[in-house]
Amino acid sequence: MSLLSVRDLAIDYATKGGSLHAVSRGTLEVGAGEVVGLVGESGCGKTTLARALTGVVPRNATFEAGEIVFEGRNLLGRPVSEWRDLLWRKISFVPQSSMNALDPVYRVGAQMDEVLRLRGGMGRAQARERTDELFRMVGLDPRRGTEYPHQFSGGMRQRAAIAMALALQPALVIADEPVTALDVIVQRQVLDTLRDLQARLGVSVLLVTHDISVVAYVCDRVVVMYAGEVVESGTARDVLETPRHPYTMGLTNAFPDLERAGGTLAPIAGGPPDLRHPPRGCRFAERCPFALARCRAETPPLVVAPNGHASACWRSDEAPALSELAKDPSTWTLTSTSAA
Amino acid sequence: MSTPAEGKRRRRFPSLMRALRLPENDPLAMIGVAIYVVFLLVALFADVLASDPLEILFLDDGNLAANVPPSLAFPLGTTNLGRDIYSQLIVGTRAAFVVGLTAAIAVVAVGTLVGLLAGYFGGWVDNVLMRLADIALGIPFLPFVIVLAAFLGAQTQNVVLAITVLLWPNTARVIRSQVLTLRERGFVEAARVAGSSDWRIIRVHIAPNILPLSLLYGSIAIGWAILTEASISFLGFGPSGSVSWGAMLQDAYASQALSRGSYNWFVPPGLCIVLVVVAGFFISRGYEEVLFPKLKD
Amino acid sequence: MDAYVHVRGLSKAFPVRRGVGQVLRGEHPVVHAVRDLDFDIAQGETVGLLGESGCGKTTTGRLLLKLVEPTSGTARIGTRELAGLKGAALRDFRRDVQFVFQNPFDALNPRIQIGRSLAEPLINAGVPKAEHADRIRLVLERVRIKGVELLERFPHEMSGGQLQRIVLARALVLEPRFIVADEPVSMLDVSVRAGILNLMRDLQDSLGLTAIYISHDLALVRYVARRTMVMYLGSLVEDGPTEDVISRPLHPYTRALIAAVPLPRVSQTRDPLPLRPGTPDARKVGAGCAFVNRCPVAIAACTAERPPLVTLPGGRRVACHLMPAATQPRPPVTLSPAL
Repeated sequence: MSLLSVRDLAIDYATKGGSLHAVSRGTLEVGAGEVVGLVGESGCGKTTLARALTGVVPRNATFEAGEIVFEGRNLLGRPVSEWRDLLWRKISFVPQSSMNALDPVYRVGAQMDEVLRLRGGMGRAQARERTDELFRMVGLDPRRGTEYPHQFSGGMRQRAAIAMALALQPALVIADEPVTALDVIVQRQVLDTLRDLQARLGVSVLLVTHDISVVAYVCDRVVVMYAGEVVESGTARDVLETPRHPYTMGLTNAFPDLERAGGTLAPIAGGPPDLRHPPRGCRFAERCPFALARCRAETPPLVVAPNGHASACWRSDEAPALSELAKDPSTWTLTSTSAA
Repeated sequence: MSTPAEGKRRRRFPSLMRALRLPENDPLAMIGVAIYVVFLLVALFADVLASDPLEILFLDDGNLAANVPPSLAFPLGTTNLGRDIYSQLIVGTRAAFVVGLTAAIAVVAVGTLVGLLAGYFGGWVDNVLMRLADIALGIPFLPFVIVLAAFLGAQTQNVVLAITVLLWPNTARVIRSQVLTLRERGFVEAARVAGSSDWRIIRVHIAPNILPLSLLYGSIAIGWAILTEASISFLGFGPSGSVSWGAMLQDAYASQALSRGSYNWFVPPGLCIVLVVVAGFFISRGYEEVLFPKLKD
Repeated sequence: MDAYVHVRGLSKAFPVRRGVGQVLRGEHPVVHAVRDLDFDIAQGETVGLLGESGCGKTTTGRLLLKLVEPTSGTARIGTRELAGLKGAALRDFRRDVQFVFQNPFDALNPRIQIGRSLAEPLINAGVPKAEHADRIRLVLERVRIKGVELLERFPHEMSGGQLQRIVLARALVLEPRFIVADEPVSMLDVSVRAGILNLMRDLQDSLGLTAIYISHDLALVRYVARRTMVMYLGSLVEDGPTEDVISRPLHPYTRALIAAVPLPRVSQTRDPLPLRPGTPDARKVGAGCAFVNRCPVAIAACTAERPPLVTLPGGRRVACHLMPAATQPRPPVTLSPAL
């Protein structure tokens, strides 16, 4: 049984122009000790979905359908207090900008102590000791615990945020773009730390990112979202090497690769649909070079292959052939009737 | 990208609200604007709506019409000297608006200009202007008004001057800080790279972006100015012989209208002052929404 | 070959906040954002400027645009010395030199319609109003935006990819000869990034632009620039053809950068970064090499003396005391066993 299982989650935002279906068919699993990447572009609902798992959603958001089963219990529909009880102890969160996780007016070490004492019920001395241990664990000098967040570099702040997330030995860490704002070297170092700790502690990680290379580097499994829906999921190798959904194919081609010299990158023409009025059928159809009439009429279901590789595309069976076509940049220009 | 539903939504007084840069679907701002419009119309047509407010009236029996309770002839009754309170109230609207609007415009003009220059150019310009603002902020209200009235005379333009001198630094400081943030924005730098002169950058890129803030301070300043004018008149430093809400309250107070329970005398001008000030705040709330949309949640 | 951009000894120091002791002693500490830059860029050449945040790459761009004044050194673009440009000469300079911003969401005035933003450079340059519509139409074609109705829109009504095209169009509308692009795709979604990158590449070729492309991402730099300069804490540490820099990095910092570049491929067993633990801090750069505290191969000379940027036979440049050793065949940095 998996640690976390999200089934057909739907989250709407009430906006001025009507309700916005931020997440429509959110389905994903995180097994014990597994690192799962949740990939997609801005506005695809990945952050909304990830945040929803912590029970912390914006005031104008409502859960419309689905279930969030954590350790065998469906959290949806349970009182918020019960959910909140799980935070830090069972599920913890590393936000995108670690400036948000750390309060600028308190010393970093003191903030960590507070989490340990308030949520973990530790005594002062015990918390102190654990804080030092956590600092060392993420590669920070414990003596720097007396400094304020602004005295930390971006990478150090991110390490501190990771340390805080691991403080009470949660079963699941949700990390929202944890390395996006960092330089390549720091990014690599933070990812190495994350990978290391994950292997050592056996904690499950749900890593939200737009960056395929981050997924490739640290994740066991990948879930790809587009326009509020999960369009593909499977092991990182399956999804990145033999993608079955044209959107994933497009994403992998749009990414510059230091090892492949030359070549032309292929952008995916157009932009994501307005989620207040999502199109009928497949939401990617209008940008898809392989779309058929059926794609624009009927929504493809998320079909799981025997090897666990799931995709929501009517043409999944032709995936190997389409994937070859997708590697040719001219495939993607054919549909680019409207630039950008 | 407007959806059909949005396009069809009926907009009330869109042009007026747009000219004021207010959100068209903000009911409080609408109420504020409506109050201002009504008072403005009253002020404009005061001559038609009221008779001479200083005329001493007599009853049919030849007696002075002093302290007459509200009646058909005198909708709000009369003062202890036999003057029509209704007419005073109507004509007082004019005084309130002349002082309120001119002072507010002066405050916003001076404050915005100073804020723009200080914020954009920085350096010694900023230092000089902001120290001036500090000095102006340090001026105590009452002694300043007394001294001004004593030296320049208790005239309407001096009341406006006093209000302007006292209120401009608040606007200037806020505008300045806003300009400081705007100056660092990408599009301002882009304009510089595109070859725009300082003057053009201020005019095209910075001023329009602080206009809602100026209007916010303007709408607050109208209320403050009317309140200040009323206080000055109430304290007896207002222009003598003029009719204003503050002067009415001063008369009422001096003739012990409160202890006599002549609510018809002091409540209407008090209410008008409150209404105008509240309308100012309603409108300023609307601007806050324009400026800081996130407050709405 | 006469260089189009000619930079010698260009430096920029910013004052930092003083401690009480420094105020009392009358000291004015500075941090060197950019230190002694020497480089040339040929007409029509695109150079990538690579480095981490805070390395001075953005300041370099701003110096070349005359948005900040250098503390010392000279820069010449075309025939114009940047120092002392003002008035009409500065306006002419602004016609020839343009900037593409990192954040397209901030680069356009939110209260001004796109069309007016595009016309602004034309107005400033005194282009007759009658020509505006034609030139805007031409430049929109160049950045491959269709639909003149876009000109009526406000920035918030457009997507990031569209906005960046508009920003690019504004930079190109005066037909400049030199462009500084500061991380132009870092704020964009992956799927539209490629479109902007392709566009930049095509424009360089078709318009013969000279350009500097500032980025922290070597893969992106490689995509648009044939030559790469690497900066570390304000100084140039390496300069050479991009492919050579990637396949045979000479400076230890470049080696670390390349080893850290993320790859979109699964199951990489990657070597540990060739770095000693340490953080870059521009305020703590001593007399020696700025990289010495993180360098895995530093020797005594590195702490004592700043290595000069030397030109090697073949034209590559590097600032490293170990250079004679590094020119010997060294084991090349392995990217991954997949290759």
